[in-house]
Amino acid sequence: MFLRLLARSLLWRKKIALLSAFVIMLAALTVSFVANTLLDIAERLRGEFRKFGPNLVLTKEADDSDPLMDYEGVLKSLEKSFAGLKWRSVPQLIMTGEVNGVRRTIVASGVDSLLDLIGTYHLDGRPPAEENEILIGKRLAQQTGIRVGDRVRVVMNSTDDLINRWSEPALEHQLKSPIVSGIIATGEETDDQILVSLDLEEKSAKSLRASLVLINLSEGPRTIEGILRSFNEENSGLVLRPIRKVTEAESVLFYKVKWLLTLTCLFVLGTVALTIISLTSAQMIERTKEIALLKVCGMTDRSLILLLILELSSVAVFGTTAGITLGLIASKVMGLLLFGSAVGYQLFSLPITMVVTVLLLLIGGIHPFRILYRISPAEVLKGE
Amino acid sequence: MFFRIVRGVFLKHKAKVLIILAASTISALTITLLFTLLLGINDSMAKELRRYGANIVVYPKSNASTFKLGSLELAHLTGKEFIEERSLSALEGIFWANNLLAVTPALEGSGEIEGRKVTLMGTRFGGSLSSDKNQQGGKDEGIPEGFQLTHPYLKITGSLLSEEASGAVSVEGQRVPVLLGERLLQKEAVGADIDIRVNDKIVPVRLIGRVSAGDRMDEYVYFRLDDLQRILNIPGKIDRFFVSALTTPENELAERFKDDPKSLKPQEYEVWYCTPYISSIIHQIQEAIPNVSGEAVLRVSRGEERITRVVVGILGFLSGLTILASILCIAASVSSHIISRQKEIALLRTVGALRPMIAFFFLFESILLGIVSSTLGFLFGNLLVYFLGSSVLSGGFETRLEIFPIILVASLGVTLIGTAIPLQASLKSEIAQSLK
Repeated sequence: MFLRLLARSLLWRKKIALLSAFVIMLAALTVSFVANTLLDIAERLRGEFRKFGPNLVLTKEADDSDPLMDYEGVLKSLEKSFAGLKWRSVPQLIMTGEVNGVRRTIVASGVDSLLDLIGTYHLDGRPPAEENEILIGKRLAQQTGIRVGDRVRVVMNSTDDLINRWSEPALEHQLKSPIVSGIIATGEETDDQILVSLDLEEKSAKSLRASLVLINLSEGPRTIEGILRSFNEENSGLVLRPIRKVTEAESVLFYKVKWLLTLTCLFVLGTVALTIISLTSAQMIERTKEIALLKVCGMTDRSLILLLILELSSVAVFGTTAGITLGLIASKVMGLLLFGSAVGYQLFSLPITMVVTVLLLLIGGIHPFRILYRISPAEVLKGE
Repeated sequence: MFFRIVRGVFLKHKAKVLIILAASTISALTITLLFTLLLGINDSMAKELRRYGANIVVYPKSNASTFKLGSLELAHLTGKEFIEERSLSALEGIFWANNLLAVTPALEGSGEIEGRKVTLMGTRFGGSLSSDKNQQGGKDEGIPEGFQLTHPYLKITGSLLSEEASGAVSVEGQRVPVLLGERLLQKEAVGADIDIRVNDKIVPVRLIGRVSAGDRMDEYVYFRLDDLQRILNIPGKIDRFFVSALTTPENELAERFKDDPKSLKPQEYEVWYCTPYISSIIHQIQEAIPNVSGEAVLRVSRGEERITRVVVGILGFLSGLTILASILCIAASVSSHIISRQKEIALLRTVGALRPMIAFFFLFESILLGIVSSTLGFLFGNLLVYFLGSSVLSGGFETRLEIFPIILVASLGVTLIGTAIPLQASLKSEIAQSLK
C-alpha cells in the first residue's frame, strides 16, 4: 500500500518529480565540481605556478675557492632531500666569452631540459640538434646582427677562472665555430646569453661539473622553506636558495587564489541549498490538500514524513547520480580547458559529494516538514 | 484602490512575501557577487600578480651592422647605446599611462672587487617620472620610480639607496653608498668600507645594505643612478628601464598583431591599441620614446595569463551554475505563492475583474518584488564583494553600476516568468472548481 502510494505520487506528478530531480542534479553537479576542484586546487595551482620556471637554485658557498660542483654528488644529495617529491633539475656551467666580438655570458647546459624547465620562451628556429649548434639570446642577436643559421665566432675569455678549471675538450670543440640553430627570447637575462648544449646523458653527467643547478620543486611555500633549511644544514659547502621572484610572489598568491575560489564555492553552495529549500517548500504548499486528505484517511505524521523522504530519496538517487556524472565530466572538461590536461577525478570527492548533497536535502527538507506538521486537515479541506 | 489591494496583499501574506523577497535577494546577491568578481578579477589579479615584478623591460634599439670575415659574419658595433633618462617622462603621456604602476631606470656597468669581476647596477629607489610636483599637497603625482617597486620580491636589509640615504650627489673623497648582492663579500657587515675598481679608477664605497634575489642579481653592486652615471662619466644616460604595468591577458587579436601587425583591420587595430595588452603597452612605449625596444618578460606575462585564466574559468563555470540555481529558486518560490492564491484569483474573477486586469495586478506585485530584491541583492552583493576583495585580495573590487541593469532585468524576468506560468493556469481554470 505504502509503496503503491509512493509510485503513484511520483507518476502523477511526473513534471514536478523531474524538476526536483533536475534541481538535485544541479546541486550534486555543483557539489561534485566544487569538491573535486577544491580537493585538487592546491595541486593544480602549484602546477600552474611551476610553469613560472625554476623556483630554487643550488650553488656553492660564495667564498668557496672552487665555484664548480660535482653534479653527480649534487644529484645524490638532491634525491635524498627531495625523496617522494616532484622535482626536476638542470645543471648550468656559466662562463664568459665573446661572440662575434661582443662579450657575453655563455651558459652550457642540457638545452632541451633547460627549455623544458623555464617553460615560457619564444624560440625563432629550433633547439640545437647537432653538437656544433648553439642558441643565442634575442637581444644579443639584435646587437650583433646574428640570424638563425649563421656561423659565429666564439672566443672564450682566457682570464675566466671557470674556463681554466674546465677540462672538457668536447665543449671547446663545440664552440670553435658553431652554427646558430635558434634565437631565444624570454625578456630576461637569457636574451643576452649564448646557450651551448651539454650532453646530460648518464655517462657524461657523471663527470659534469656545474656552476649552478636550477631546480623546479613542485611543493607549497611552507614545505619548500623546511626543505631549504634541512638541505642547507645537511650539505655544508652547498647553498640551496629560493629564486625570490618566483617563490615570494607564489607564497602570497597561492593562498589568495585558493581562498578566493574556496569562498566563492561556499557562496555557490549556499545558493544551491536555498534553491532546494524553495523547491521543496513550494511542493509542500502545493500538496497541502493531498496531505490533509492522507491525514484524514489515518496516515500518521511519521508515515507521511517517511513517504515524502522516500519520494525525495528516489528522485535524489537519479538526480545525484546524474549530478556526479556531470560533475565528473565538467571537472575533466575544465581540467582540459584551464590546465591543459584532464586531471583525474578525485575519488575522495565522491563521498563528500554524497554527504553534502544529502545534507543539503535534509536542510531543504526541514522547512517543508515543519509545514507538514502544521497542516490541519479540517482547516485545509474546509478551504481556509 | 489598486495600490490599496497590493498593499493589502503584501500585509496579508507577509511571511510568504518575505520568503520570496529573501530568495530573490539572495539570488541577486550571489549573481552580483559572481558578476563583479568576474568583471573585476582581471584587474585584481593583474594587481596581485605585480608581485612578480616588472613585466616589461625596455632597452635602447641596437644599431648593429655586420661585416664578413671569411665565412663568419661579425658585428660592427657603433658602441654601447643609451637612452636619455629625461625621455622617460614621455611615458606620462601614453594612452595607458594610468596602467603603469612603476617605472625604474637602470644603468649597468662592470667593475672589480678584490680582483673579482662584478656587475654594477645604477638605479633609483624612490621619486617619480614627473618633474612637476603638486606643490599644494606636496604630493608627487607622476608614475613612481623605484627598484623595489619593479622588483618587489627583493629582500633588502639595511637602508635603501634613496635620495636621503645617499645624501646629495657624492662628492670627491666621500664614500659612495652602495647595496651589495648577498653573494658578494658575504663577510662584510653593513657599514663596511670597500673599494671598487671601475675603468682603472678606485671608487671608495660604503656598504649600506644587502640585496637578496636568489638569482644573478645576488652578484650585483647597486648604486644610486646619479652616482653610477657620474662614476662612468655618462650623466643622464641609462641602458634600460623596467616597467610594471597592469595588463589584460592576450587573446587572438593580440596574437595576430604579434604575427603580422598589418593583418589587423583599422577597427581591430583601434581595439588592440585601446586594450591594455602587454604588446599594445610596449608599442605605445616605443612610440613615445624613440629608438627603444621593449620586451615582455614572458615568464611573468604568460604566467599571469595562465593564473588569471584558471581563476576566471572556475568563477565563470560557477557563475553559470549559480544563475541556473537562482532562476529555479526564484521561480519555485514565486510559483508556490501564486498557486496558494488560486482561490483569490477565482474570487476576483467572480466579482467581475477581467483576466488582463488580474494578470496586471499579479505581475505588478512581482515587478515590485523584483525591483526591491534586485536593489537589495545588488547592495549586499557589493558589500560582500568589497569584504571578500579586501580580506582575500589586496584591494577591494569597485562597485560596478553597469551590472545593476543586468541584475534588475534578470530578477524581473525570472520573477515575471515564475509568476506568469502558474497565473496563466489559474486564469484558465474553472472558477467554480477553484472556489469549491
